[in-house]
Amino acid sequence: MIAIFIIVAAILTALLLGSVFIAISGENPIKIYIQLVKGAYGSNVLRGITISKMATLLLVGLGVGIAFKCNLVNIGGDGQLLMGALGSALAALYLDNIPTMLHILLCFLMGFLFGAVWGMIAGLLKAYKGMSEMITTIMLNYIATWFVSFLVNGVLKDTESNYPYPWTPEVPDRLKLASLFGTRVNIGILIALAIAVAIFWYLRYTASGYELRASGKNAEAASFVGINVNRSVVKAMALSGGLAGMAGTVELLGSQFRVSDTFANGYGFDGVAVAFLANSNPIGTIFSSFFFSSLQCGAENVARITNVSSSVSGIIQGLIILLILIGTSKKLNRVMKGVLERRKKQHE
Amino acid sequence: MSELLAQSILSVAFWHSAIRLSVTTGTAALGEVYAEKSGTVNIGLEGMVLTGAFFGAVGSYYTNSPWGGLLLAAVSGIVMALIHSLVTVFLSANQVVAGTAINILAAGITTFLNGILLKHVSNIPTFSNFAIPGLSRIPFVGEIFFDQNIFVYLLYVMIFVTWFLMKKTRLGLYLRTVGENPKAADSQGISVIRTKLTGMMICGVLAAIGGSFMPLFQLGLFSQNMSGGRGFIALAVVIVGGWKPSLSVLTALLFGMVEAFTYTFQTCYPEVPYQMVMMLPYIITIVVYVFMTGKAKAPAALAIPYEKE
Repeated sequence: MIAIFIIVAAILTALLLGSVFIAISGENPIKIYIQLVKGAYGSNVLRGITISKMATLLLVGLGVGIAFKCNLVNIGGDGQLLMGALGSALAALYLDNIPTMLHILLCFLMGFLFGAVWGMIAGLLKAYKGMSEMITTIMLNYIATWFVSFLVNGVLKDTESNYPYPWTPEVPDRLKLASLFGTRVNIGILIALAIAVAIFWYLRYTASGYELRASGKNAEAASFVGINVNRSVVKAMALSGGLAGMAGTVELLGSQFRVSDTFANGYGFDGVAVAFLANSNPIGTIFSSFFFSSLQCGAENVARITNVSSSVSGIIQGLIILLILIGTSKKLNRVMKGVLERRKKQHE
Repeated sequence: MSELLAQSILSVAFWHSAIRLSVTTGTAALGEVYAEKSGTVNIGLEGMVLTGAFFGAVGSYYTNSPWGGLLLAAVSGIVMALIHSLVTVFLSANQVVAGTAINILAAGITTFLNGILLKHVSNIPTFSNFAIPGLSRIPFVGEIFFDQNIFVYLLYVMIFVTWFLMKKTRLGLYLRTVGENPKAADSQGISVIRTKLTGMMICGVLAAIGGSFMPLFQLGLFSQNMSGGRGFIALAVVIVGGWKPSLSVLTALLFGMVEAFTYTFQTCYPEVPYQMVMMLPYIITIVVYVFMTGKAKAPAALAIPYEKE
């Protein structure tokens, strides 16, 4: 309860501070915030864009959250998402004569696999070599980017369109994720929501999920009761990468339809913000991804029609995290309690 | 092959570009050494490099002097370090999450203010090369290392200063003790908060100065997200360099060399896809890191928030 209060207070404070930046741009903050909501949800098309982005952020955020639960920091979401998109694109472009449903399923599977392998590399290096997963995932981001760039400039390059930048051919129309009835929102969000519930269940009710959390909470105690902590670390990173990889699938089949080297677009770092705002809770991640995708899509729309740069969403996002860190600080809590008690004593 | 050699390690121009490509990473890495030695892992390094680059450009443009840029960059580094420290040092919060927030915030603020403060600005005053009389006359080696710019000379000086500070002064001893065992430091009467704060502030200043090299010498302008991951690479460089100032800067130079080499390679062998070559520095970093594990030890209390009991 207190946690939710802190989160709401942090969001409101960040929006208030953000309005200073809006005022600097010479606009009325209240009008801009209203415009921001309209920009995210004002029309069928806009709702479609915002909810598609939410699906991607939700999957990346779930992945980062699982890693957090095992006391790991996965900042390699960008690379894992890109590799996942690559795997899906390979399945989409090179497999033929498969029933559509099965083909889409294969795309997701390939997305998961490619992302999982990319995440697992960092997991293995962490578990058996003690290497910081923060450093290795960052390096793997760059390797993935250049690798995909190599492919989309070479063997996977689309030679038919006259687009000046290299990208792959478009995925076949029949594989594109269908829209929900009468809207522009594609079914990617339903898939992501289902996976969020599955992850919630996995972490809470399965032995494997319990081991993962126990390894993260106290590795020494976990290995004392016979849990293989190293295996948990590898598993957490593979799952984390796999979820980011599936975010790549959703992004490919639902929004971008082609892979390019700018495909990942910083989703990996947004994923850290999404997971943190939700305190790594899979159900909470649904709300935080909804919030951040609305903020980002709304801000992009605001930038198109006013003087306010869309980067204001990044400022607000960064501030929210910092403010929550401040609000949830145990140290601050204790200091405040101390002050209150002293006051009380003085009154007596 | 001989052409490749002639254009790379045998050419002064190659070494000049290698050094230029490692200045930002090397300076930021030195800064990170201060932070990590005192027990703070600063993932926000990338954001601080970016902030330094932006305010370096702003300062230079508005004071019409690159010195103004350098000064403002340093101040912006201090401000970012203070924000980071407020959360991680004073309130003992999660350092990685705070660092990520700093990165997101820095990208947002610099992009935002760029559209206001540097609108339509395409040229700012920059530093020029300054050959050190005498030394730069030494054939080859002198030309490479002493016909450079102020950022490179500053880096040379800072390697020595950092080594001296860490090994020979009281501040260095405090930083190391706090990074190894804050509890023991506390019981010795060392202020953990003040020491960590000092480490972070130096880190912020150096990261920002490293970032300001890009607009103030290399490019003469600011562009969105121009740090391009150099702060992140600096984080890896510190680990591969075993938290030693000289080895860290050497690793940064190695990075710059490989990067410069890829450019040379591209011109010599245009038929080889350059992306495959661009991947090399990152793969090499991971491989070197694999062999490094166990050789050098991280400060024992790195990334662990300290709270007084």
